Amino acid sequence: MDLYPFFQWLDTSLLAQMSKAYGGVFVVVQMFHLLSLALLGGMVLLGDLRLLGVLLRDVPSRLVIEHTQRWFNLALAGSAASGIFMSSAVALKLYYNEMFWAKMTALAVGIVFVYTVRRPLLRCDHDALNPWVLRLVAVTSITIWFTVAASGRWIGFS
Amino acid sequence: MSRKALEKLALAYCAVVLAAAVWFWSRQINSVIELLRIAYG
Repeated sequence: MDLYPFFQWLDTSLLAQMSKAYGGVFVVVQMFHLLSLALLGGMVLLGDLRLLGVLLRDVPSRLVIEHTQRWFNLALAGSAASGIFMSSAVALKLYYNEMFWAKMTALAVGIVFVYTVRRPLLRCDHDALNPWVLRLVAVTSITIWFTVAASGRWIGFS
Repeated sequence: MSRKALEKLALAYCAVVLAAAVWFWSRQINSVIELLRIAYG
């Protein structure tokens, strides 16, 4: 499926006109994007390091996962909304950028992972789950979100 | 889905993702090494 028409449309959309014409608006949205990413990364680390038994050992892991998941959802929505706005400013440039597609692939893998694998699994009683599966889920989660963040940063250098 | 089925699904998904991540990052690191070789010999 060729997404070029979508990027062409995005490049000339109202969003693109706003992001190109008003540098101040772009910078504020970028700030929200970075704040959302920081929140998302923080929630991922908090939840996954608890699953690995590195921190908050005296708090039940299910409680940590439950609370971090809410903020994770908010951070994901915030970063997606601000990301669409920011990408509209350089839509055609991004279309030809290999790292942008790497980031989008990792993001899609991450979203599927969180909502179809990690969350349903972690709703079960954690004591009844195989501890090695929990550790593997935590390591995979950190790997996926690290890839999203690092490939996103790499876009600027490629 | 039962707990056992969820565990199996998680195992399979994690294995595929981790293998893909190793492949992706080794490719990126190799391309950086190649670039540094071209630049500095």
